[in-house]
Amino acid sequence: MRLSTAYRQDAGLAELQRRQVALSDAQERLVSGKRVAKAADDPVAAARAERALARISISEASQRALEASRTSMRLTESTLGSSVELLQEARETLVAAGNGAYSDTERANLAAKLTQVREQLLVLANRSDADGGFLFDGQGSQQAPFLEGAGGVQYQGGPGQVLLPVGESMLPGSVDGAAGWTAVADGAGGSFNLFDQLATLASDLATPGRSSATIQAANTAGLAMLDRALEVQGGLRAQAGETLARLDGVETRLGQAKLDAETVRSEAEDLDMVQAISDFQARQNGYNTALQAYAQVQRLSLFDYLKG
Amino acid sequence: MSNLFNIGTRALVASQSAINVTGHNIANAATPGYSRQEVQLSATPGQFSGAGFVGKGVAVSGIDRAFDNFVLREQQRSASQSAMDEARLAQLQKLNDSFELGETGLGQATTAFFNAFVDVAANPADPAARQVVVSRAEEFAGRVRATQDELDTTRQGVASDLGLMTTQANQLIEQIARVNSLIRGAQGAGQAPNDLMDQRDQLITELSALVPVSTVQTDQGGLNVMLPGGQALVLDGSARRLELRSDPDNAALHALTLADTGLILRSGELNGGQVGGLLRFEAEDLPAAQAQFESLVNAFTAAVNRQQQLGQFVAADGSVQRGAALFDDGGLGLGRLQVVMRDPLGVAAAAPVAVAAAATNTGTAVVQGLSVENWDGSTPPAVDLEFTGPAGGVATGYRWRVDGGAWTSEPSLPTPLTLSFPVGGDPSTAPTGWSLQLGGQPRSGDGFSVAPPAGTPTQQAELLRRQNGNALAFVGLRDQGLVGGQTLHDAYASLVADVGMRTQGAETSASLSAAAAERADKAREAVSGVNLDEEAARLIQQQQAYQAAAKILQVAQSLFDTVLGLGR
Repeated sequence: MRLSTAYRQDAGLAELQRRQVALSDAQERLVSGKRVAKAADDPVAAARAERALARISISEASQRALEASRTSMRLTESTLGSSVELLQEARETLVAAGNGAYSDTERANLAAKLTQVREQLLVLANRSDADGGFLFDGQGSQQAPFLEGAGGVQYQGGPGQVLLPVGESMLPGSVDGAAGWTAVADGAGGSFNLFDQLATLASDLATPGRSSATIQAANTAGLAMLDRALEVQGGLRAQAGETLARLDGVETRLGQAKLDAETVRSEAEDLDMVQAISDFQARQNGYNTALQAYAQVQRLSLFDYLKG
Repeated sequence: MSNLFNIGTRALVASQSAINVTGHNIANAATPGYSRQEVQLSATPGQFSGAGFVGKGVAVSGIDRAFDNFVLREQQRSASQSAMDEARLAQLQKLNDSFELGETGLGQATTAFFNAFVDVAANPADPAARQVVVSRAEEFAGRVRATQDELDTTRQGVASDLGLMTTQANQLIEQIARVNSLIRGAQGAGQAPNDLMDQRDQLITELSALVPVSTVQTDQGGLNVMLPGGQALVLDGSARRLELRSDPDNAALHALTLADTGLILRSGELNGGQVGGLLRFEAEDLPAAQAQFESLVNAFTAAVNRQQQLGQFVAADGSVQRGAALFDDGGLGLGRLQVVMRDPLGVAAAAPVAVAAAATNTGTAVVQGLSVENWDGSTPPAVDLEFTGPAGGVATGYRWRVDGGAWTSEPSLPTPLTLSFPVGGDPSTAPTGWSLQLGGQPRSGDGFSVAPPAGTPTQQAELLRRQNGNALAFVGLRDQGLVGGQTLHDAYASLVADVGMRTQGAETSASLSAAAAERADKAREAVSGVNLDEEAARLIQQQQAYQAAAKILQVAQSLFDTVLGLGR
């Protein structure tokens, strides 16, 4: 076997270059902390990391929608809570108005109180949410959804509920405004306008000279109406509360899904530091040894030993 | 006496030749393709005398080159294979870099676009959320253009490399023919012109790094060079020309042709050489990646444009308009993909119809989604749905009416509870077609209405500003199998993995064929290479032989002088 001098030189240099490239690759991986810098490094892991990344960003977007839903539901829940208290107050006022000893003046005072409650309820119904929109009218409306006009309070908002995309499911982003205020189900297949009913109650109450039987009948009907409104708003409030509870569960699941995806991504493309460092050192030693060997072996030549 | 002079002189000449050859070897130690040469010595037959044959010294019978035809062909073949794999790998690595991973990749751009609709759905009237949609669309289009540009640059680079390589190959072919003639001329003397033959072998080695060729030896030292399939490139002193043309079967591809016979060599027939590697990349790897890329981008832009047209928006002047296409490349290819709708208000977040549950519902039925499957822009009908069954009991059927007209009864309910319009028709082709997904349990008398916004034009506009039906549908596209059953992001992951696997496969073949080429190099060098230590040793040996031959002459001189001195 003959070793040609030029070939040995070339092969030695090529080997040094190969080792240098390997060392530089190991260094690059250490610096970036990534095992997979381009798809060819590990195509399967790259695809897995890519899919995991999609799941991560979808989870993040879902989390934003969830926060929007939660803010709106929390405000809705507390607003309906206040509304229920006001309705209780209206009920007590109406019960008090049933007192046969009361004069027209005293009933007129109670009517004023009812009017006040009605105005406060209107304020609640038109309450704005965190984004500057309105709670009981989808999102981002520029004008109040419940408009007081000549014919009473009218609902200007959109029908139904606003839904938000959270993961694979749709969660409510608002509560149907009409159902809570202007089209309250009466339980017999019809519906009534709470504001108009309150206005009628108050004006009836303020009307002087009614017979006690008329007053009694109006009060009984008014109390039934208020009980129904309390029931419906209480139901809506419970729905908002349920949604809030459900959101907590969804959030936990979203968080878990995101964590899982992050783990998959990390396992797919992140570097095992311990192994990477030992790998880097092994290559460094290898390159060092190769340099020394090359320097020593290439120096040897018979010509050096032939004197004169 | 004169015999001794002759022997000395011949020995001197022979050692001188040997020293020259050794010097030639040392001088060419690093010359590519050089084969070590050796002087062949033979003893000159002796002259008969009574006592036997007396030798007449040495003669140089020839100068041979250390050469093994089989080893050389193997080296050329393996180098050709290695050059092919290396050329394809270099292009694949470029292709691999064109499809970025992670946050800067195209897959993430599609997901980010759909995610932007989550915020629009949460707050449809927020101009900032709509602006994000437009920006994400611009970003997507920008990445598509950049990727297509890179693919085009790669394609043009391959074409221009192929042109250069063809020119180079033609020069080599001509040189081989010329050296062939020179060798035929020199061969006449009965001795092989070693250095010319080395030169020809080296030219063939260089040619086979470009195009896979085989050789056939002819008499008088000639060598014919053949293309795969047997057509000759070089016949003794005559050379043919290669030309790079576009493939008659597929104008997007190139093929190598023989100028005068019209023979066409495509990537499948050229299994070696850089030209073979580039042709294979051009015919297999690049079109596969381009096709996957195009189907992904086209699926995305088609789905987004269609979804835009299924929705509507309120323009700055308060008019309600149908959504317009977001993307367009003007038929000029993905390199010209533009966002043609840049107005944040023009993002069609509202659906033509919205669903509302009747306030008087007593069952647990809730809306899970309303998908508009087709809409031609006309005013959609207002559809009322009412569940039927035993009074106050669980619904067993439903009835429906359009625009407050007469009710039509349907005796049963579908499972899952998805009600489509037109009832009994195909929602995906009707002027307005939708399907409503309900969850829970409706009771008899419960109702839902699916209707366009009501009221005055101003009221309608106000309602549509806040409606998010179509934004929800956009978010839904994110999870739909738009590209052959895969979501866009998954399809991109598959594309990247596919290109990665091709590259990885090419890396493996390239390192295998490089190792094979290295072994073949080593084998050739073992036969033909120059070892300087060996030459140094030979130099000493030949120097000593020269000195000894000179000594013969000195002795002959001294003997002659002795004889001359006899007369004194």
